[in-house]
Amino acid sequence: MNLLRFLPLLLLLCGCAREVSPVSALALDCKNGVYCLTAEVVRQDSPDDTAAPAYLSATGTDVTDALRNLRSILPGDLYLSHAQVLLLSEDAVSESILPLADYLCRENDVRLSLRAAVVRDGSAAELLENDNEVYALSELLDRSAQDGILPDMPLYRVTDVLHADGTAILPALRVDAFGQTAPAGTAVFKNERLNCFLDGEIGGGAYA
Amino acid sequence: MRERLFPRWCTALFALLPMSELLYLPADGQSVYAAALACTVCALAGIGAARLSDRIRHSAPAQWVLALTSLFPLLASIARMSIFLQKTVFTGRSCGSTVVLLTVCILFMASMGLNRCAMWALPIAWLAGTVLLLSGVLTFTQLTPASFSAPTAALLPQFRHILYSLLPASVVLAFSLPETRLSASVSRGLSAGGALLALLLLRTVLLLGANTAALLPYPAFTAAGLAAIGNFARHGEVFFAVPLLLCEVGRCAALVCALLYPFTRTCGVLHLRRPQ
Repeated sequence: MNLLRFLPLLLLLCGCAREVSPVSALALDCKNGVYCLTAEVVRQDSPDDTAAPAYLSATGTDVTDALRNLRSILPGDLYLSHAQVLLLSEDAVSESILPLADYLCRENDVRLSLRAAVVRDGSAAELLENDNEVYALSELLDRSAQDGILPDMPLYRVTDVLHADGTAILPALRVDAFGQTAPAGTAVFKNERLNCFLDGEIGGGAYA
Repeated sequence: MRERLFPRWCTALFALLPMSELLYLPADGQSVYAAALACTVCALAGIGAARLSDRIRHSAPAQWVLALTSLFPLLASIARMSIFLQKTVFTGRSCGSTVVLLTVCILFMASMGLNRCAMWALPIAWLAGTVLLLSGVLTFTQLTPASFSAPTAALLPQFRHILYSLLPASVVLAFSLPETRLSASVSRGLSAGGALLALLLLRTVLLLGANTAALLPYPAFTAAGLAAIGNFARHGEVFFAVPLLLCEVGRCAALVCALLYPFTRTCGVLHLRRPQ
C-alpha cells in the first residue's frame, strides 16, 4: 500500500508514445547548393510481416534543414538510431564535410558506428534505392571492411581524423555495369573535402 | 543484534563514488591521469577522515558542519543525473520531473540507513564493475593506441574538476563511518573505483579519439554504445548507464544519511514514524 503512494510520481514520466519510423540508411545529394536528404525507412506492415524499405526525401539549405523537413513529412518520429549507412554524392562532399560529421556526432539519435560512403558516378539516392533489401548496404560495407576491400571508417573515426589534420579516407561505392551496388575503391579527403579516389585494394591502388 | 557495517560493504560503498563520476567526465589524453591522481588524493583524505570519525561523532557542531557539507555533493549529483536523463532518455520531459523521481528514489533508499545502503552497495558495485569491464572487453579490438598521450600540465584543470566533485562526498562519508577501523576499506574502495574509472576513461579516449570525444556531452556513455554482441545487443550504452546511475543513487542515499545524522543519530534504519 505504501508503494502505491509513489505511483503518481512515476506517472510523471509517462506519456503518449508516438509511432516511430526506423531509418536504416540515409543518402545526401547536393545540386546547385540545395541539399536533398533521402531516408530508407523500414516498413513492417506487409501481410507476411517482412521488412521492406520505403523512401522519403526532403530538401533544405543544409543537412540540418533537410533533416528537419524530412521529420515534418512524417506524422510520427524519425528514428535514426538504426541508421547504419550514410551515402554521400560527390557534389555533397565537394565542400568541407567536417560540419556534417560534427553534426552527426552531436545528434543524439545517430549512432557513432554509422558508416559513411561516397557514391561515384551517380546520385546517392539512386544507389540507395538500387537495393530492395533492408540493411544490404550496411552488410556490404561491413564485409568489404573486414576483407580489406574498403576502408573501415565509422563516423567516430572519420570525425577524429578530420579534426586532426583535415585528411581522411572513406569507402566509395557505385552501381556497376550489371546494375549491382559494388565497392569502388577509396575516396580521399584533403582539407576536409573530396580530393580524389583510389581504386582497388587499400594501399595497393592507383589514382583513378 | 546491533547492525554492523562490514569492511567489504564499506569498500563497495566507497568504490561507488569514483564510478558514479564516469558518465559526466570529459575524455581526453589527460583525463585518465587526472582521474587516477584525484582518486589517490581522495583515498588518502578518506583514510584521514575515517580515522577521525570517532571524534566527529561525539561533537554536535562537527556533525552539523558535516551535514551541511553533504548538501553540496548531494545537490550536484541530483542535478547532473537529472540533466543526463533529460538529455538522453526523457528528452520530452522537463528536468523537474526527473528531479522529483530521483529524489523519491534516493529518500526511499536512504530510509534504510547508512549500514544497509552500504550493504546494497556491494551487489551494485559488482554489477557495475562487471558491466563496465565487459563493455571494455567488447570494444578492445577497436581501440587505436595512437590516441594515447603522456601526462602533461594540462591534466591539472581536470584534476581540480574531479577533485571538487569527488573529494567532498568521500570526506563526508568517511567522517560519517561508525567505526575508525574501516579506514582501510575507504582507501581500498576509492582505489578500486578509481582504477576502474581511469581504465574506462582510457578506453573512451582510445576508442573515440580525443577529437570526437571532445564533441560529445557524455563521451563514456556514447563510447559504450559501440560495444555490441553481433546484431543482438547493439545498445550497449543502456546496459552501461543503468548500473552507473544505480551507483550514483547509492552515493546520494549515503549522503542523505550523513545529512540526517544530527537528527537521527543512527547509521541504522531511519524510522520515519515514532516507534509505538
